[in-house]
Amino acid sequence: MALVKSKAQGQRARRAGNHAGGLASLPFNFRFNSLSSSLLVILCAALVLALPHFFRYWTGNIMFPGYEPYYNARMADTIMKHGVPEYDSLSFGGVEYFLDPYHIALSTIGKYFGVEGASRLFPYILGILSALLFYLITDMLKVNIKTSLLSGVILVFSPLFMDIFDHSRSASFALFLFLLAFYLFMQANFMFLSMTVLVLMVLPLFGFAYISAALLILFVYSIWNRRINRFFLIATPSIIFSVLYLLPLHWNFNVPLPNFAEIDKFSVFFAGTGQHPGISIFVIILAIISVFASWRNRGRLWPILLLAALFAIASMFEYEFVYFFNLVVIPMSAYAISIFMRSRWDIQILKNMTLLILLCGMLFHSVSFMSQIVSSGPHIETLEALDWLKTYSDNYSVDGISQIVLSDYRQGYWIEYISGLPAFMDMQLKYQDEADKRHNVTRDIYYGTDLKKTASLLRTHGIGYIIITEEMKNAGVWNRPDQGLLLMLQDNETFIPLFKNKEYEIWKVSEAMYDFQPDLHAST
Amino acid sequence: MERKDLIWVTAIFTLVFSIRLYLAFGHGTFDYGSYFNLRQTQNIMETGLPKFQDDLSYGGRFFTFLPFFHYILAIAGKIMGIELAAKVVPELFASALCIVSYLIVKRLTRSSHAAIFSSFMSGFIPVYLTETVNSVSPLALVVPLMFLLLHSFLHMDPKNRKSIFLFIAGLLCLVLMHPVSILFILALYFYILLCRIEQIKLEASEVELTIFSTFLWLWVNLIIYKKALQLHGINIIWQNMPEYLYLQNFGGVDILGILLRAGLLPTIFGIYIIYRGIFGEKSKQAFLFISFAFSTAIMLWLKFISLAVGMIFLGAVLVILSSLFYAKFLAYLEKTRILQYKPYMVVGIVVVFVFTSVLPSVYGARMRSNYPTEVEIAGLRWLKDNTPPDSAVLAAPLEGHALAYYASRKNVLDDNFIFANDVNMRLNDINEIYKTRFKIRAIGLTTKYQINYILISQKTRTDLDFETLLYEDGDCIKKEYDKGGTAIYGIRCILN
Repeated sequence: MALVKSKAQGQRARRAGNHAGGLASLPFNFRFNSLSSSLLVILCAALVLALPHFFRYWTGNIMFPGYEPYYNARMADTIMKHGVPEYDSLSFGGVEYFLDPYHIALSTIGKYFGVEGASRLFPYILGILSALLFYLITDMLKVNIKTSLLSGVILVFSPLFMDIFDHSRSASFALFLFLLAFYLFMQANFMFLSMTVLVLMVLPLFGFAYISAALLILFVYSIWNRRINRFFLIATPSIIFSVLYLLPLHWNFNVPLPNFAEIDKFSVFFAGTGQHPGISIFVIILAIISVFASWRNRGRLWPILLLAALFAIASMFEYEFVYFFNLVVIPMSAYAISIFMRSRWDIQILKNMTLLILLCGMLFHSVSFMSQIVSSGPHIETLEALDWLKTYSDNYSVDGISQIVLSDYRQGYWIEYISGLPAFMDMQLKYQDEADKRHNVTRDIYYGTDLKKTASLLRTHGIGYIIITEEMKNAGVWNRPDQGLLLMLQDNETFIPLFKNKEYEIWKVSEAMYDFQPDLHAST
Repeated sequence: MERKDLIWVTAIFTLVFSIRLYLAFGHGTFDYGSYFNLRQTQNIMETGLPKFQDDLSYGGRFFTFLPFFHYILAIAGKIMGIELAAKVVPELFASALCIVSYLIVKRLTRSSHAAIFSSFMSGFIPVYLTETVNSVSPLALVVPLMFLLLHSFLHMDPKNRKSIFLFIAGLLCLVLMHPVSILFILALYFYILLCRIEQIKLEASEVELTIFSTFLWLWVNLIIYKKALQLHGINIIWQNMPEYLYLQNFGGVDILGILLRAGLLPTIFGIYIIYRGIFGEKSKQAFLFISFAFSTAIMLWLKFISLAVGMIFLGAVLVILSSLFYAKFLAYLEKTRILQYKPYMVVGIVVVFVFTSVLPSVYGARMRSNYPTEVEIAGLRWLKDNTPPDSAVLAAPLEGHALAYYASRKNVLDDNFIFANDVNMRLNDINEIYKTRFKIRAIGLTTKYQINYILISQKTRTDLDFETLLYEDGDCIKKEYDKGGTAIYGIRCILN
């Protein structure tokens, strides 16, 4: 049964497939052409990306989810008000600022919708556009139209996609730009190619992973498509700019990720196995099956196999490569599913049950991650506590100096954005050579048993407030209520309780300890 | 099945089942690990649901497990009572390996002799008998079921809907019983790989069953262990075990260990058949069992499954492979001039097997010492009758489930470590409570874990190498029960 029979639809229509079963047996007269498939992908993306926000709002949480979005919102706000800063006075008590194009874009959109509105809207739009671009790219790669559609849908439902585009993150803009660059690069049009150069020039600003992955994909595509000259023409300016921008950055500021924030490599790849969104195990297995299934055509399909292997290896060293690994394995898994759907099985019931399990399995990870976003912080209690701290510190600042707030480093961005106070540590660990030292200081304060020594550490580092969350108390930091700092907090001469709600406790370090000028850059 | 074979297999099954029952009823109790399964079965009998939120384990916590076996036991428990069902049903299932083994070998060799010999050998795999006798464990059913599925995999007729449905149902039961069912899936992949390497044609249905089994296993385990995976990541494979227990349970495996646990003849004959299977005759059917042996050995080598569990499966598959040797040996004898000595040789093999497998199995099962003694259970019952229902009792991790089962009191630690925080610290603290000389330190720790009573059994004394609590003062810490080596101390102080 031919799904698309019109000659006018030409070659693409022929690629739509001429087999029975699977999607072809839809009960209504649905035609799988590029337009309808694009619309379906857009619809899925719009729905999937909106759902977590909707459920958060429905459960009474008005805050947008995640940690990094609050850093981005703060920087966008700063850019809106004061232009691009050279120095971020709040992160780690004050550090150098590295330009991120996402902050510029967010601040531009923020002028119309407010930074918070932009933080919700901008990644949402980028997500929909990225899903569309991804679909169009797979479609242009002469992939069967149903496989392209499946790729688009699997991408939209992938936890990594949700993680990137449901949170206001630089990665959302970077990934969109990469897909745009790839799409433009595929067009045989001078104007589009010129635009590719421009887009590629922006990518180094997001970091090494994005530009190297983008160039690698374009390079492999060019070899495959025998347009290597075009690649060098387009990529040379970007390569020169990357070398000029990234190499000095690497030499001057590169520090390894501190031990405490080391990435769990297993959870990078497999969804639901730790702190990272990962890729559904079903997608990975399907991709592996597709390798075996297409092994005879490896001469033709080598680019995708090579890219998958390279990105898998690269992901172990730099987390961001996993986004590209995801983009590569998804079409492979869609191809495997389309093989399943097309093939005749000896045991038909097994085919149906396998497809059902695959569908449920992939949805399981999506739904599970979606619920994770819905229940993730910050919560309304966070806003309440940090807003209270902002008001309090505005009224009672010591000689106009903002006192540093000590808490779990993951709370750092929230503290900085909502209370406007500098956090002793936050999640900006990439170019931060102080991270390990400060982590050790934090541990000394948390677990110390000598009040004098703890007071001295607090004084030396200018810490004025301590925020303790329920999670920290429940085995996040301490295992029992009489341990380290928790015990010392009972000393009312040194620590004054300021605020308490269901999730947060705010303590002030006694004024008596502040007859000095805090040294914001003190090190241990 | 021929009538003569039926009689033989029935006799062997009856013999194995009787020996198992004899050994099981030789103890008034079950092994320590059984009490977790007993409690879950009891809960299913009472409420229809397993207890994922356990108020007694670790003083109250959430954890997950695959509950299918407990449902089967609960049904049997409704009919004959839980204690009797727990004694009889697992032994019945475990003995069924004799029948499965017969079916497999008969189909592989067409030799009744070899099949009957295999049936006999599978009843006396030392590690299998030792680990599963008088133990309420899903493994008793998982092992025969897995081999039954391997058998039906080999002889699947894609046109026979009944056999397909039975296979799917069996697979679902297996997957819902124990995560070790991954061995079955891995074996299928090794089988496909071996067939590809040897250019043996695979049936489409075999690949289809493999793909389906993989996704089913993944899906079920992801659903059940979702939270545990999120919390422990890849460490879920090792069940978040404390270091010293990990070293005990996931220790390395050597050839001597295999000889002792799987038996001398199955190991030697089995390894020979694996060697011949790979480098000599190419038998597709033997490949499946060779693949199973490979997958188990690799999982053991990588320490992805515990030594005891891995050796059970390795022992069982070696028995099947060694029966192939036996069949070949008999066929070879037919071609030689020493045919007249065949009966003597068969008797010789049986005698060697009896001495190297049957006797060590029965002896090992009898000598197994990880059961709570009657004296210890009397102590646990005393706790139930004489302490407030919400009190927490410190016992050794191994005794945690027995404490919850008999005394219905909260334990501080048991041997189910999934979802437990800081198990190493908890374990060290517990050891310190037992062995410290300092009362303040001990009371600090009992306050930390809100412990009201300390149970000291003879086994705990031996394992931890101490005699009594050195800080007992008759006031803060007072001995309240002491009979036959089991002592219970009450804690009356807390440290502020």
